[in-house]
Amino acid sequence: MLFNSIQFLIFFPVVVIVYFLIDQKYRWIFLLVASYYFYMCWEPGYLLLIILSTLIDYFAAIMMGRHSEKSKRKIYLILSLFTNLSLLAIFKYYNFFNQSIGCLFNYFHVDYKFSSLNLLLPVGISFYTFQTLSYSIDVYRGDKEPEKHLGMFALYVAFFPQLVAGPIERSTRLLPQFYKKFNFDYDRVVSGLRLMLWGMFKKVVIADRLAIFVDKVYSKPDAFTGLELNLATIFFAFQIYCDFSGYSDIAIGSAKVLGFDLMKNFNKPYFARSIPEFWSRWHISLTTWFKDYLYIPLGGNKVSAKRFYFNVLVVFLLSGLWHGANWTFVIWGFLHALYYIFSKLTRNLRSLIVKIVKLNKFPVIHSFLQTVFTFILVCFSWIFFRANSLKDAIYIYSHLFFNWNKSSVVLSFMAGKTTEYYPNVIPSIYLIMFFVVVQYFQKHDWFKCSYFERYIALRWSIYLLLCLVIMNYGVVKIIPFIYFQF
Amino acid sequence: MNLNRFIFKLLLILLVLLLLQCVFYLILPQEFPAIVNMLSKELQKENDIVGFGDSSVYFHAKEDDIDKSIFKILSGFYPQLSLHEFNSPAYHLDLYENMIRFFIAEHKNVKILIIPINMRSFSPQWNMNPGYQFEEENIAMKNYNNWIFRVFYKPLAVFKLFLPKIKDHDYNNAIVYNGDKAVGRVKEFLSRRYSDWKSEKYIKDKFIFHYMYSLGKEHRKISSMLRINKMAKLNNINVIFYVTPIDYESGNKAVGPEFQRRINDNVSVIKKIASKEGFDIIDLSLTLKASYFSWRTDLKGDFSPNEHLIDKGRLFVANKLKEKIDFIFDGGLH
Repeated sequence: MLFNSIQFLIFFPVVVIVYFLIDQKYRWIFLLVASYYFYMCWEPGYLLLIILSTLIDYFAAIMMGRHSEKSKRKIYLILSLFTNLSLLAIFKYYNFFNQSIGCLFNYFHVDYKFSSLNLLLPVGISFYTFQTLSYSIDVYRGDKEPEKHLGMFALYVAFFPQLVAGPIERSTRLLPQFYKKFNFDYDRVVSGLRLMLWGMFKKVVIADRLAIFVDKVYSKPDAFTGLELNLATIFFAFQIYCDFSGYSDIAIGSAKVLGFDLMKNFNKPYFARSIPEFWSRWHISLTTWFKDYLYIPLGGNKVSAKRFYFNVLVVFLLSGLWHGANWTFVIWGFLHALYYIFSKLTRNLRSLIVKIVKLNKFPVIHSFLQTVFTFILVCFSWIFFRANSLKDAIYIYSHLFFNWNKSSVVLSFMAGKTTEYYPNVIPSIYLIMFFVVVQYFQKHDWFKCSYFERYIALRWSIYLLLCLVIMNYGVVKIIPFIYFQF
Repeated sequence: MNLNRFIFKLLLILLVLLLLQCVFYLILPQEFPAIVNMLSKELQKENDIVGFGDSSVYFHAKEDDIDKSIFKILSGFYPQLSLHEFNSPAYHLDLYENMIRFFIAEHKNVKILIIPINMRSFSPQWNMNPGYQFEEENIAMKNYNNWIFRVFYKPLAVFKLFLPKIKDHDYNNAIVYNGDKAVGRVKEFLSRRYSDWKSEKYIKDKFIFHYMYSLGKEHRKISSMLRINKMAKLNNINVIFYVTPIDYESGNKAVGPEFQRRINDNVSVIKKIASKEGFDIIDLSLTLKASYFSWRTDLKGDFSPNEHLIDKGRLFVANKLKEKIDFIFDGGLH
């Protein structure tokens, strides 16, 4: 079930009304049934995977709780890791590695006959797998008591707002909330709905509009010139941000309406002034997951320089692979690892250059240049992320600066003509400009100013305007949330 | 108290929103799907020839000297007649039926209607594909004159009300047949990975996936064809059905001689039913050799063996249609 569908617009109010009407002790049952139904709207059979994962992690955690010896606890942790990662490996990575090995064997003219598996990727498998893994690891470490209530644990795994694309919640945060009694809280519900409305706008109006041109260019990059490749890449940077943060806003907002707090997933990442800062603002729930369960156990930054670089590299490569079973994602991760390491290595040098050119006397300009430079680096890496193949990515990189004057966008603009996709380009640029301005306002909390809070007419006008724009200028074509594929 | 206040405000905001949507529509009416607007605007009260079609009628190869669609070529043969074409990738008989119903309801008269029957459109690859159902177009055509529908059409479309009844799940699990033998499900055919798009395995799989089903008399597209014929008769429209050419040479090479037999058997099912109902079908399925098709030049994941023709292929089809049109004119139009 898509968030931007009539199905969800009916499903969600029904869930909210019934949820608040029934007794607290039955609410978890109702939410669990609703969550399973929500997931079954995609591929009913794959619900079994979630149930399997739930049962094994529940059992493993209970057994870990019964043993105090580390060695015995480890056996159950391994059971949990093995099951979850095996499911992920089979459904997401088997064909990728199989094909990659096949290509390698072919290259050396060696016969390789392992056939591919004909399986569809279960929606959200990477998200709920990581969520359950974090639970098992927390229990193993003793940071969390095993959850005794199977139903509550099942709800933690399958809670519908964040089931298919996060935020990846920690059991320590989310599970206790299921035991709390939430009465209807007007302010909270309104705040949740406001977040959902803004998320819907980002997805349906901005992201999906940008997707039209991006999909066109990236589906056949060799038919486009440098200008169009650049435009499509910048568009994609905003598309993926609006798409994913839009989803997160709807997820966080709908959980909020029901009374639950989900973690913030984005914090205006394109205002970051460095790559490390970008990663502290982008997909926060995944970044912190990698930090807590991989980076710090590897030693984090409290190790030798070489080991630190190795740790960073491992984290980013795995993060790339988490995003998709394709070398393009691995290289995207690798590129960010390089950025990250380079950023750390050159910190002193950059400070020195800033002092020499006296940029430190103009902090606003300095900050602006840092933001722009970081954004360019991020966009540069998005090419690998979005390209359909390595070949396409290389083509795009090598043609970014050629034939700008032959661009059909430029030609049609100069001739006052329209092309098939041109009508979407100008509105897309306006939407990006609008979005950046809104983000800037949000950054400085200008929406919390007294005018907005005090004048109901102003607030209502904005709500109604957003609704009308979504309803009339939203994109009709089905463009799935990008992160569903992960 | 809290809840009451909330429900009151929510209802109020919804009411205002509905009213604003009506005002908004009056100021800036949102367009219906392109095909509905085109049918409504381009067709006159009286029209000589109207052609419907999928990509097989217009798709051309880069090397073609003539890049015109079959209908454009045809219109060159009859400069004195008005010829309108309405085509798009994956159009098919179910949609044509609604298109005809729509233009009849809009009081547009058509003398000759040309309808291609693409044999691939009966396969699960096409028939069960949610992306090829055109639910939105069908609903929009049915409700074209309903004012309330027009006001709320765009919001409903944005929130995916017009999603096809056939879901991804149904499509993925549809069975693929090679003759009467089940050879897998759609999802298996879609998720197969190939080292090379040009590999024999890829081409064979695609030929099976696209054409090797065993056509039953009850297929919903056959029912659509029959209803089209009925509607046309009732409204004095001469319909020309033709089966689009299939690259049988490549099919035989990839799958074996049973490929041609299968095509023959499936086309015979359609022809027999048509003849029983008193109309005929121009069968071009096995008329063109492999060199008339352009699919090899576009070979890629989403461009597998298909019915796209190079210019001389489209010219051939146009000439065949011309023979039939001349025959109709010679016999005197009813």
